[in-house]
Amino acid sequence: MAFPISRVQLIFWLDVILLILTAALETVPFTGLTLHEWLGMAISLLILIHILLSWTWIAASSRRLTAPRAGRTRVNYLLNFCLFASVSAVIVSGLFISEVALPAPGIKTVAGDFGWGNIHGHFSDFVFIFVGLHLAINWDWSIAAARKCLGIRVLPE
Amino acid sequence: MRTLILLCAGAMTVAAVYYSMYSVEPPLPKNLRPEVKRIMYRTRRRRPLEPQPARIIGFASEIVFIGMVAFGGRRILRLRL
Repeated sequence: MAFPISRVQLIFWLDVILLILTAALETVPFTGLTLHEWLGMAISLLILIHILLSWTWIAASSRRLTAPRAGRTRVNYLLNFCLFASVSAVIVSGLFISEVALPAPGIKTVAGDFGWGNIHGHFSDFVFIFVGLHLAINWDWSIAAARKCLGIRVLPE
Repeated sequence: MRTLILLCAGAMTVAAVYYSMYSVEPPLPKNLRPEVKRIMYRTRRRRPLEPQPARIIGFASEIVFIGMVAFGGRRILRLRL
């Protein structure tokens, strides 16, 4: 049985959802704390899928890192690594300071801890910047994928 | 097109400033005992949601900020790479 959507469509719509969720997670008053925590856990799964779908690129770039004239790859790799590290820090610290989602099934957290709270706050600012730069470096692909997925045709000049 | 982008960016900057004014809270006093600080911190986190327009403006301004970082970043990366 054929998959109902193409790989590009899957990646594009996953990225759109990730962008919307990131913006929603950055504004706690928009979602409220309970939804913020559940969405935070949901986004970690989506990020895992996003990474797995990009695994070919990650493997190829890792091999190309030391190659000559691979400046763009190196910058892209570094940005992605920083984004990954920041997101990991935000998710882990978020789990530590969970006030609703984890305490509900009886898991003890350090809710209200200033140290973890600060890590969560600061790294979420980094995520915000790195997401923007991640979008910037993949801009051409994003526009091409959006055109393909939304059926936008560009007329020749 | 450029004027339109600048106008949109300007409008969203105003909206973001309005939103940030809405959500700013004074810092906690420094001489409080840790237990009291913790309770106050929790109370703040559990405060009721902000009025609907401020919440939507906050969410929209996040998307626009990411877009602005992407827009600026793209220009820088294009120049550099």
